[in-house]
Amino acid sequence: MKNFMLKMSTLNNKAFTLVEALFSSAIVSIVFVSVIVIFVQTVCISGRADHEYIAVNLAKARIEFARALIEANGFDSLTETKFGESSTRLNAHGVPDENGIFYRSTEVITDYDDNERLTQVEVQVGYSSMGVRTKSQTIMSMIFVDFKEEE
Amino acid sequence: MTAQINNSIIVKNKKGVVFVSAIVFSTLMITMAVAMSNILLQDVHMIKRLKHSTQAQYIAETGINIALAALADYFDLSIFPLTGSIGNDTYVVNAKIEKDAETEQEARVLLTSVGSVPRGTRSTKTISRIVGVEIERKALPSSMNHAISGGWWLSIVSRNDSQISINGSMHSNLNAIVSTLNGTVKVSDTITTSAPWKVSICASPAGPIEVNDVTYTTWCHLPDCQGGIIEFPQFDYNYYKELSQQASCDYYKGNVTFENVTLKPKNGIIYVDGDVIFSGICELYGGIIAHNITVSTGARFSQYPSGDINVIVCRKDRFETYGGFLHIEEALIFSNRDCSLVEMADTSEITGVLTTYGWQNLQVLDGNSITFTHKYPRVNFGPNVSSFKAVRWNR
Repeated sequence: MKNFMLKMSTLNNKAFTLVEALFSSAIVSIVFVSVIVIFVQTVCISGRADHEYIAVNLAKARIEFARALIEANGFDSLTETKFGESSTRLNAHGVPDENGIFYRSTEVITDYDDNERLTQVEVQVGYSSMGVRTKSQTIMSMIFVDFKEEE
Repeated sequence: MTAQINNSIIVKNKKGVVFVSAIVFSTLMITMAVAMSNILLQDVHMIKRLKHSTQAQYIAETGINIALAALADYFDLSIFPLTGSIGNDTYVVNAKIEKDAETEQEARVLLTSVGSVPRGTRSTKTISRIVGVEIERKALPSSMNHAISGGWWLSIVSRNDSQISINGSMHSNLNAIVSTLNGTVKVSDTITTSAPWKVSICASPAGPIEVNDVTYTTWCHLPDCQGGIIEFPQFDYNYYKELSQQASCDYYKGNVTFENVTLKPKNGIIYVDGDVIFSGICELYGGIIAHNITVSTGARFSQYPSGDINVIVCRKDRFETYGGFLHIEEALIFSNRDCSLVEMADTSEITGVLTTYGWQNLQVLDGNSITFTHKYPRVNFGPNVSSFKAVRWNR
């Protein structure tokens, strides 16, 4: 009887190990796949966040360039230098580059709201991911004023 | 038997180890993944915040610029708080006014703008940034620092027991002469001229002249009397004209005589495209602009401050009276050429500033007197004259 019990017990244990191994593999596989998916997503989001960050800086740099241009040469310089642009391709450093993944558009609106003192500069920066332009756009808008300052 | 039992115990002890290991491993993996996602999420939020914060700063600055454009067109601080929006982004601009203690003019104005950008399309929360700028108004023309001033000659005469009392300083861009003949003149501050011109004092023991606490009883040139060349006020006449036309009864085309009237202009100013004569007893609350203004002999003209356009301006030639009475409580009296106040009756009193491009002639005779007290009058020179400059930005 004792021998039978021992045999049965050993047999039961063997089956348990197999079931346990199967369950464990399944769980580990599910978790592993999930983690891989999360990791891939993370890498994607991280890449997008990087691009967003660069896009914000490119838009900001463009507005500040407009400000510097106005302060140095006056408001006419915006139209004289053809500051407005449409979908200029740029690299991450803001340098025009045909292979760059960033797209920048600048619109200069003089006489904003029918006020000849006001000029609006609106900059839109987008980017492409895997060769496809994303919908995400960073839009920065600033209205500059031209008023006579007497010294 | 013993070996079999031991084997069984080992097998028994290993029961669940793989499962437990798998759970532990999975937990570790999940924890790492969650931690990594969290860090990334924070990065994403940080970048979004940076983006919204930059946008908020630009919208705040936009608010300031729109406010400056409005002030440049028309310096009216009642437009504040100024609010506006561009898309979903909003700005609110407030003004803090700092008045000059002496002139009571709005010398400095601090504009602060709060720009707000919604955090997301569905979120009601916003990210805000504040931008400030301090603007300084153009200083008042230097002629307003004197009680009486002239661009050409300045002549003050007191005869036959008359008294002229001037509480303030006087200046002429050319010569100045102060004389008495049995009368007295007292000037509480300095009398100056532009170099190389001089101030002549024609006094006698019977007709002393006191200037800046020094009494003169003989003819002399006033020592240390040379100052610079003063500037005269400029006015935005079109603005005043429009104001008077808005209140239709305050605009007059052609010459007009006011006789025994009380004038209370609705917008604070009467504009006459012609000459004005005051006759009888006339009262004015506010300001008046005309080609020439005359207070006729025996007339009594009183002016009282009202609003912020307390001016008596002769835009063509002269402001004059011959034997009239003046009671002016607060006004900038300006003549494009001369000002001649001769033989003023009774005890005339003028408080404010009296300045002309040309000759300034003040004569009192026969026991009458005039007291002139310098005061910076409340004067709005008009939007195209009241310029300002931005002195300090806080971006």
